[in-house]
Amino acid sequence: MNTWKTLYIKEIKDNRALFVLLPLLTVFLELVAVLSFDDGQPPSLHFLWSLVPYAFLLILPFVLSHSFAQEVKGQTHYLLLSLPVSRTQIFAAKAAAVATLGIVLFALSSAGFIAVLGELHELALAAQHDHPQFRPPPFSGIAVDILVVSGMVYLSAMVVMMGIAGGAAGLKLVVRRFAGLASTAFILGVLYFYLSTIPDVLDLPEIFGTYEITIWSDYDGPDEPIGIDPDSFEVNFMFLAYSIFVGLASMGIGTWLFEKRAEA
Amino acid sequence: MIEVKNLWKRYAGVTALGGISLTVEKGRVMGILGENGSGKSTLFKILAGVAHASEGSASISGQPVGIQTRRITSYLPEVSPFYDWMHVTEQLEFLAAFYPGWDMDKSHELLGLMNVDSHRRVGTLSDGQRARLKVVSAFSWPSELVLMDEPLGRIDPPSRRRILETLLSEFRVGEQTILISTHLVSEVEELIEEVAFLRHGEIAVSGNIEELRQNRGMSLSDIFEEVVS
Repeated sequence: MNTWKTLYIKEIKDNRALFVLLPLLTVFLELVAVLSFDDGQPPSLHFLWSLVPYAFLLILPFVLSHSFAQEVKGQTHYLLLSLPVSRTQIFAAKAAAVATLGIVLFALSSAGFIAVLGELHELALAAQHDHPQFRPPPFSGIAVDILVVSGMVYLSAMVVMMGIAGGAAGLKLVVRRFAGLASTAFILGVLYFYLSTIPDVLDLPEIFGTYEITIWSDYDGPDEPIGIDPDSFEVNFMFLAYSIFVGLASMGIGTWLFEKRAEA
Repeated sequence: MIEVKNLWKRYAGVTALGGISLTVEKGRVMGILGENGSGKSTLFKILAGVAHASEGSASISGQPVGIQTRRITSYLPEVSPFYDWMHVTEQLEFLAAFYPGWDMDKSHELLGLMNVDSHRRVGTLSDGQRARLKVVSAFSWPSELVLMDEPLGRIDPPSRRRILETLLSEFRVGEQTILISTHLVSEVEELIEEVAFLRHGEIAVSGNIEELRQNRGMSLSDIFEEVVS
């Protein structure tokens, strides 16, 4: 069997509890949210559960970090490091497995959230009968906008966090004294650098293009006729490109340290 | 087969290997003997490519230790390097993907010979069974070099006997080179042809086992005692 595939499948099996539990929990929460709509009645606040699975993203860097720590704890790093493959391949297989989990969770969360939006849209259409001047926005427009924006933010955050976690894991494997301190300094340093440079990056030329988001929330107040005046703003894809760059650079540091310095 | 030149390894101020030079011809079985902490495991780790030398060089079949040499080397570390959550067969199939010529039929034959249940999870195996599983993984494919770091430590006498019997029967004379480290000298005496005694990270005595016995007029165990003291 292909060594990439073998390592990747091994990583997925190694984290199989999370690979089953988190998607199931996501589906459950999305179902709770969707089922909170009851035949044209205003929903209970349970529909907000639909947003919670996005927070599972925060677990991913810990999963990646834990994966390296478990190898050392279980002494299986002896086996991994003695395999006739590059250490970059071992590192990449771990990152790819965790990224797969992130993408699956995003797909399920988005599907659930779009379904909730669909229910809200149905309510808005029903309200149009009583308030003919109310013009609900087109559902497809909202769904695509939300998918693009949430996808960009989710992917950016996932790549940056996993990159930082990968870099810190690589550092922990090679630093013998004050490993915890060194990895904490690395995490804080990269985060500070990333967050402090984002405003400048957003001012850069739109090399990677933009996406126009329509704003449908111009509500005029309870005493005014309900009207929605679409407005829009442009999202610069440079933000995504920069996040991917920072994430990959950070992970590259971890991979390089792992390749050159990691020892059993 | 193995050429080690002036090999040094230092860990945070501690010298584990202090300039070792060693040559092992292809097809030989060499014992690396020494007390705990004498540098045996460090030498094996460097040869297996899981640790880096601080100074000096190590090559196998003319190539510096790296991916190419790991492709022809079976490394059995002192610890159990297997995944507890895998079944025995699953563990061997995982390894089979990386080593050319791995024979799963041979694996099952050896598992039967070594009395290791292929359906059990690795985590449920005893120390002895794990040690035997390591030997199964070493001889399930035609490796050119087998590095066995303390294969007989911390296991019961029947397991030791099984491992030694398998080593004797599975060793491919002339094609395979074995480096075996232990402090149980008498157990491996009938297996090894050459020996290197390590002391404080340096080779204290080395040579052909028969010549050493004749020249010194004592058994290997006695030479070991002398070197240690």
